[in-house]
Amino acid sequence: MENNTILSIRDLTVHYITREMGTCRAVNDFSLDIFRGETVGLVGETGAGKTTVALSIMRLLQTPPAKIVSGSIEYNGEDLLRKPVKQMRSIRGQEISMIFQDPMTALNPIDTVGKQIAEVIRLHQSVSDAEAAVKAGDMMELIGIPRDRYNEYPHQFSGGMKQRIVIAMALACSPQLLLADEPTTALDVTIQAQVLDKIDELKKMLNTSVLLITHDLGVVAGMCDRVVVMYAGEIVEYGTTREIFKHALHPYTKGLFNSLPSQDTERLKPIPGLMPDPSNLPERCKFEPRCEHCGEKCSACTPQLTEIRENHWVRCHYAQEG
Amino acid sequence: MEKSDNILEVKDLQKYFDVASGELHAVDHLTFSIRRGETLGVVGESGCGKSTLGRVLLHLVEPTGGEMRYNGEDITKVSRKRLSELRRQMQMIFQDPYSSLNPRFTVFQTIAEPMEIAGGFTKRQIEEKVYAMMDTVGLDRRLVNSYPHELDGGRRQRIGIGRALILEPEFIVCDEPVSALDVSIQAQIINLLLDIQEQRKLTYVFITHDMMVVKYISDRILVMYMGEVAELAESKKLFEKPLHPYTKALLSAVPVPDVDNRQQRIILKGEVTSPINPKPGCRFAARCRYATEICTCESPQPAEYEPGHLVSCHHAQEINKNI
Repeated sequence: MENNTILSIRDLTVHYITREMGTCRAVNDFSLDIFRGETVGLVGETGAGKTTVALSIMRLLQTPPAKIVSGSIEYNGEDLLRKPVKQMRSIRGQEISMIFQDPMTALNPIDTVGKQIAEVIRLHQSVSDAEAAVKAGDMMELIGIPRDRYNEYPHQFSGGMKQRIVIAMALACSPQLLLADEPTTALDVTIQAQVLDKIDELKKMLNTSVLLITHDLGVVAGMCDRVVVMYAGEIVEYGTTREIFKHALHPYTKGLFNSLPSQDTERLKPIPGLMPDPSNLPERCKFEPRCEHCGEKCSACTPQLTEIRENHWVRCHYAQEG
Repeated sequence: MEKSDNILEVKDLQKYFDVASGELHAVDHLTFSIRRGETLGVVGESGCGKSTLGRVLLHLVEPTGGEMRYNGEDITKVSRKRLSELRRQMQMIFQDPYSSLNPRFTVFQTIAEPMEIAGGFTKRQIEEKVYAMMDTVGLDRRLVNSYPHELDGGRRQRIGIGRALILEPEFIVCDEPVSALDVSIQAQIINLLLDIQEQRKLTYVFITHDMMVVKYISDRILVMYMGEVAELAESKKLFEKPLHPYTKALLSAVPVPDVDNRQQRIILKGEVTSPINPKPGCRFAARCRYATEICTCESPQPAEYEPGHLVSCHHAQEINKNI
């Protein structure tokens, strides 16, 4: 195995099983490698399964209703899915961290922010309370919040500052892998710019790999080295950011770009229809019901991810024909 | 005076809220007008007062001061009776299709309700109009007895649009109508709003924080900062040549989906100051790289920099000299 790979997900399949809805096939045969120091963008719309992938890596899926049906997630060569709970607990926060979308709910309202950052450090490193407090103060300065606000509570901070505090907590132990789930979606654009810059800066400083989950293609263009596009629980296309933005091949990816308002388009070209119900997915190509380019092959057999151009993989029978 | 080209004229409009620590200036001395048939985009960050402005325009909250003229008529203070007549002409589309619909109402009931409140329609007329409206907004007729929770966000927003249009208004405030939707659905709804506008010659006030959407949909754009006008210009002009330091920062911060265009972002330092009991002076001064002494003691007034292009900045001339 390549030394350069930090995380290797193979054939991950996750179902949510409930009495009312039956079996929701949230993630299906998902495989992805993340290399050291790179930022991978995971894009897709609501319900595509992006967050389920991240929660599977963290082993934070609520089971039941979720069930990891098959697959493996190797972190530095060891399968996270087979780790005992106790070991997993020490990996979380120390080796792999996650930033959640909503900073308003990710912080404990009755503890000071300094204490919350220090707690992460104390849990994972054998340091005294005083040392942890100093380190937490350092982290606060690193993200641009003066350390004399150590003893303030979350409600005393603005949304952007709260999200930066969450980032400080996530990066306090210099994790090797950061999972950022829509880290700036709840923020205003000028604040989003601050936060993204901070993530990028810290990532370079600590050589952290980042899996950035977002639905914002603009954020992806500015931040990511590679892009993975998900649709209905599957990867439909992935490649370098430049490849995807310059030569999108899957009809869904193209549809996403055409849906974006920009000055050169006279009229937006939305993707017709809706995402399929995950408890009742189409048998073959999941995108076929909404696809304008489907042909005979689409109803005959399931498309596989195929390398169409160098480092550019697409799940579509007709990708080569454009 | 003949019927003016402006459907709505707003002068010195204020809306203050009393809060525990003082007076929150949500909308502060706004003056602008809305032309018949245009889309006026209103942009700004959360808390800048853009939603409050939309609500004041429709009398969902009462203004603290100033004046509003609708087709020349002073509507700053109106009787309940007049207001219910005005509501036939002025409607609103809300942001969140999840919370703005009554969960106990079917699609039919939701779209029909404004007609029932307005009164004067027979059962048959209501039925005909509701079905016709469902066709207009792209809702399948078989969904007529569905409840909101059975439908996805895009369809729910179509219900909200149908409900706003059923009384055939001419003026609609759209408050973040596509912000809660995924891009592919967002594009469907934007197209729908534009088609309906063309067919029915509607005037829109389009409130959003999404600069890409506002650029696409608006004729003119009003940039708000903490309750005040920072800049007002034609959409194209504003993006080509933003004059206010805040607009410049705002536009530069918008992530562009283009790998060749990693533009230099202007990162704003500092935090938004509080809109509660604001001090005199420019409200953007604390975050502004061009701020000087005058900015901290004297409030800049909107001034015409070029015809039709307003900006509120003491230093607009100097900082834009070389552009």
